[in-house]
Amino acid sequence: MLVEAVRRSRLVRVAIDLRITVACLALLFLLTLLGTFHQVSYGLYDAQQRYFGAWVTLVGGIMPLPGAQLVLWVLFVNLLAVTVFRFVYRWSRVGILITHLGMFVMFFGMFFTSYFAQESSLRLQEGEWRNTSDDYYEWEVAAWREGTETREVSAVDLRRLAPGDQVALPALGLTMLVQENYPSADAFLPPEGSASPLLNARGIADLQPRRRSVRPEENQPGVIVQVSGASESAALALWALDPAPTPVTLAGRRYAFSLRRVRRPLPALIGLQDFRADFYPGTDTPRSFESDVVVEAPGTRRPVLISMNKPLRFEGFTFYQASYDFDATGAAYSTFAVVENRGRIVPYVATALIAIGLTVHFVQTLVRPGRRRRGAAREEPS
Amino acid sequence: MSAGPAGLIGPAGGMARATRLLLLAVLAVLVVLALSMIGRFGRGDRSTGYAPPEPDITSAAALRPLMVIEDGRPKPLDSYARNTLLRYSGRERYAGQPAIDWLARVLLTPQKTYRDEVFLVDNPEVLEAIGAPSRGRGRYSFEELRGGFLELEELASLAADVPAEQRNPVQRELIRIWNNLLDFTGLLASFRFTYPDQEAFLVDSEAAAAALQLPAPGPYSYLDIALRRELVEERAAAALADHGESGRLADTDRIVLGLAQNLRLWDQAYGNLPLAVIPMAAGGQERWLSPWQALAEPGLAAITGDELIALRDLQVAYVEGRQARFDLAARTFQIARERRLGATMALPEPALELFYRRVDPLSYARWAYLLGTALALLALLIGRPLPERAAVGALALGFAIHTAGIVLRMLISGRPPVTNLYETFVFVGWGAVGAGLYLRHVRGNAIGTLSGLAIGFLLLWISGKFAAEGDTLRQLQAVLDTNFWLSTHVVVITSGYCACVFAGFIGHVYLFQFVEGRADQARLRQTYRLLFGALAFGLVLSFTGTMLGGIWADQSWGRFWGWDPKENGALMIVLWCALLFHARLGKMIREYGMAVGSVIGIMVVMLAWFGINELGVGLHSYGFTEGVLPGLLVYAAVEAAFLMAIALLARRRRRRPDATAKSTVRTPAAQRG
Repeated sequence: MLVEAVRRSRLVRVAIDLRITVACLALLFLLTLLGTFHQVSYGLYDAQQRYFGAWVTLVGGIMPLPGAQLVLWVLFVNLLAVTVFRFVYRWSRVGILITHLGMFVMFFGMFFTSYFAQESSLRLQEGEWRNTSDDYYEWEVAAWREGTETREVSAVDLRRLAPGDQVALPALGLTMLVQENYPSADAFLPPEGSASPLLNARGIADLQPRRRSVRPEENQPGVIVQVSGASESAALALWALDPAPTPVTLAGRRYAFSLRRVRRPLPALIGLQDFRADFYPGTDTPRSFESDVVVEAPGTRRPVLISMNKPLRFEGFTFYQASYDFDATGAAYSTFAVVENRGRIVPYVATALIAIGLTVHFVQTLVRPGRRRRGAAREEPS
Repeated sequence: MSAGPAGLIGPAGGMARATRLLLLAVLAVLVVLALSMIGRFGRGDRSTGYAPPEPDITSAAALRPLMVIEDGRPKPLDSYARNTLLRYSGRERYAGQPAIDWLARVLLTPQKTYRDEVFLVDNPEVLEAIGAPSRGRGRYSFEELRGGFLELEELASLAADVPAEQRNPVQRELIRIWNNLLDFTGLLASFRFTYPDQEAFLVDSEAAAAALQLPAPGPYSYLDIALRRELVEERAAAALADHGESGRLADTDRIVLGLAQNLRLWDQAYGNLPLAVIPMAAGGQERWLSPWQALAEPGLAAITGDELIALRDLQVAYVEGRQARFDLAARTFQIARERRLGATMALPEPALELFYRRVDPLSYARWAYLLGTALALLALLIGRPLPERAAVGALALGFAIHTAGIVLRMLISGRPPVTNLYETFVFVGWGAVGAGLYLRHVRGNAIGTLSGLAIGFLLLWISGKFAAEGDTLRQLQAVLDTNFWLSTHVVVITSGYCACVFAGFIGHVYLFQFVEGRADQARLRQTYRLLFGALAFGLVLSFTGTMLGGIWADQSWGRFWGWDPKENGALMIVLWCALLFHARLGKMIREYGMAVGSVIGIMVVMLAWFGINELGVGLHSYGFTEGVLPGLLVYAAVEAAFLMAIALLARRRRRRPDATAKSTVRTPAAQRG
């Protein structure tokens, strides 16, 4: 009774309307098209922010459209409602049912990934060991005391720092007053012969904002901060391309400040032992490249070979061979894409379900062409 | 479905006049296409009438199987010659000669090829820009273009500074012609090591010749002197020491010092010339050197001496016009090379590739499809079964040749059928032809014949445009180097393209039948069923292919989905198909709407297939090709006009009292899936 009443309610009738499905599919089509063209001038990151990850978007700055995020949620609710209130559960429709169940799982995977997956990169020189990776886009101001046995680092996300903010660094007993924060900046040296008013490892005297790049990983942020402790204070310029941390001495204590990509902790210490690239004869096109790494975590120490299409998986993290470079001295650097995605199996399950569903449906339509017609007619109570 | 297979359009008597006119127009277009295809391999356009001199020997065919490396792939010199000539001139022959004969002339008697008209200039503005005399679009000679060399270099380097996707046609043409000319000057000089040089390597005294163990005084070649490099350098060092003590320079010493200096100058100047024919297996790595590079390293010159001398004999025999000696020298070179390599490195066997390139099966398949399409259209016009049967024969024959071509390519490359954009056209065409044959033979529906033939022909014809960039059997980027994913994801997604294109073609047929005067309801229904089935295949294959692509991306880059343009293209196909099916299910569109949707679907597929590549962004941005974007726009305009015309005609038809259209569109779809 109740189920029947709910089924007839206006809300449910709207939720299960196929027109919503079609409208959502059409909108997704349009958003995908627009987002793809948007990438040409503004880059992938901006297209993701504006179309694919957004709830609403303004096309060309004028026409409002729902973003892919919103459309996908509506489609999800639509699918849920249809599954509960509309589908006729019978053997002849089992393929279609499995397919739509697979779509469910796919949605879960999508939402899970978009909210919980974390991507970063790890660049290692041969012989180097690290237990953190670098974020692609986010930067942080890191500070620590020099000359101590162990180094305790305080770090503040650059995104959180607005000019005028006062940030306490209790572990160091310092406070930091933000004067300028540029998402991307050019640096200038002082005029010949004069000293810089700001402290900086490179001797930078001034930072000026520059246009942000369409590829946000290419932005080079800069901040100007006033650091004070006890009775002394100093003004610092920190820039993305500083070659070394900026040393500061306050009340006889030595500190170091650095602007760097946000460090993400890894579940193990990773060391690069050897990197090899193999080229097609007579060209600069690599045939393959691979790295010998050692993974060291409490209780394990094992050598692993990471190559194209053969990543290392470790405790929910996956390390992919992404690229490589050689510096002026000929030393090899290997770069890995690091992905932490505990839901990575979900799309596989979804794909398998949908594939099974479509196969079952296909076989059924082949085997029972006569009954298909009646099944279809029954499904739509009009 | 009386006698013969179920028809496309009714017997000739029942055909509207407009339809007949249209069929005639399409036939006329096919004839023009056929003529243009013949033209490609025949006469030149707007030539000055220059006929190249007869080559010094009858045939350079002995050079064909010689393996050379280009773009990282060892290939027979025959393929190298064809690719080069194709890149320069858009053809695989020059003045009726096979590409290998042309290449032999360029390499061995370079000065006689300056007036050969091989450089295709598509855009005459380039000629004005570089101040060369213009005779419109056509093929120009090295001599004609040489005058504008400096201007060309400057303009091409300016154009190269513009990002690839923002270059205008003139800029692209400048870069292309500049690269070709640069490449050509390299070829012109690449056998220079074999000819005696009157200036650089002149040994003009008996004493000097004797000191260097040369038979007599006279001009020598770089080869002669480089093979005696140790001796020359030893004598040069001694001469310098003597000079330091005595302050005098003997005649012999002067000559030796000059030789040593010129040797080093030439090492530097010619070290980068093309034609790497000397393979080396060193420390597990394969290296291919040009004769110049081998000669520049004393250790290598000694071990490859036999091969290099055979190359010189080849050049001498060619200039002297001695065919037998020429063939012998080519053979000697190969034997010397094999003997030196021994077991360290196995060169690929050239026979299959030579066969493939000589026969060029896909061009025959294209002819078969063209002929078949014309026959199928003729069958419609005259309403007799005979031409239709002949068309089916052409379809089957073309399919057999097409299959053989694909299998040969797979055997040569050791890869699944699709590894680059060119091969997608070949493969999708093959799939469509196969589907057409299936429909015709198993279902007895003549739509299969026409669809298979027309799609097969069009795609092979388009593939020809994509082949003009050179080698179609290229090596792969490291990330693509996996036969497993190439044979699953790539094959499935291209099959999805195939099904959608096929559905779109049937969509056209349906719309024709829909507006054609005395439409037959049963036939319309049958066509719709085919359309529905093809579209369903399109959805399933595109979806599966997209998901497999996601899995591949997850396996190799760590994310299932990244909104990369190519991924988005595939997603758009899936979304479009899903949209059509759901709209049909909800009765928002009818059969007519499905047909229109499948026609638009072709455009979606084209966008995903090769339109996206023109954007020049993303991970799949391989294969940016000239002229694709205008082609796409023209196609879209034609389709839009077609759909509009159909809409008008359909409206007129609905207004007619005896019209059956209304009942047609109202009939619920029985084939809903």
